Amino acid sequence: MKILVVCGNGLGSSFMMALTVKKALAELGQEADVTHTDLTTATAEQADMYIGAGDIVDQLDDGFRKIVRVVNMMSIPEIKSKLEPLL
Amino acid sequence: MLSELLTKETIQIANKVDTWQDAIRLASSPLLQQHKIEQHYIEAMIQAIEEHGPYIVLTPKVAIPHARPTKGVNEFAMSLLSLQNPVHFAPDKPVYLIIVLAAIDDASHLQALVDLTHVLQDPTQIDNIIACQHPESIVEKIKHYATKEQI
Repeated sequence: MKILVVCGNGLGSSFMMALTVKKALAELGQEADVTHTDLTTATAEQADMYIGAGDIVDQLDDGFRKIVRVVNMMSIPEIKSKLEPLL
Repeated sequence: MLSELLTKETIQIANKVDTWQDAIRLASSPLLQQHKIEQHYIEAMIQAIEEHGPYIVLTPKVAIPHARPTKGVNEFAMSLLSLQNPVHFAPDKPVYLIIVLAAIDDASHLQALVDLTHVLQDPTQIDNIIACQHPESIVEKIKHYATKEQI
């Protein structure tokens, strides 16, 4: 499974969130390919799941992509609860 | 890594600011004075938020404004502003800590962000930093949280 963590410019926020996503996956006992990128790159990149702040990932929502909106990007519990039903 | 960047020279404590734009300008001022960033980097960070929304409020109470390295960064640097009264980045996003990130490329700042993640993944640690009355105590807290053994 490929999870793409997306932010505005792919530099800081998405990297920090990717660390949290990896930790959440580890706690769920799951493995996935987690990468981070900016919004523009993400629109052209295929992934099984797109995860990021609502403001950002809403722009990727084409009705087909699996989108996960996160409020607290540093919260392992929040990310775990949102990923678990999708894995 | 993080504690080499966030020092008493780059950490400020203020009572309040009027707008989130003012918060970013004030938080950036040590980096501007040290010529680590140019004035237009500050405007680029503000513009990024106007464009994409306040997603840089990564976790409640904490904002990490940043823009692309090409927008006026001279040297990799970070600074921190702690507010006694919150400034709102959105009606539902009150912020006490503004951590400015000035990266020079896509990679050299990543270890500092790993350290910062260790600090911000625990809400209690965030509250403890907000409660600090002196930049020196914030330096100590960050040093402690960034290097502690991960659970």
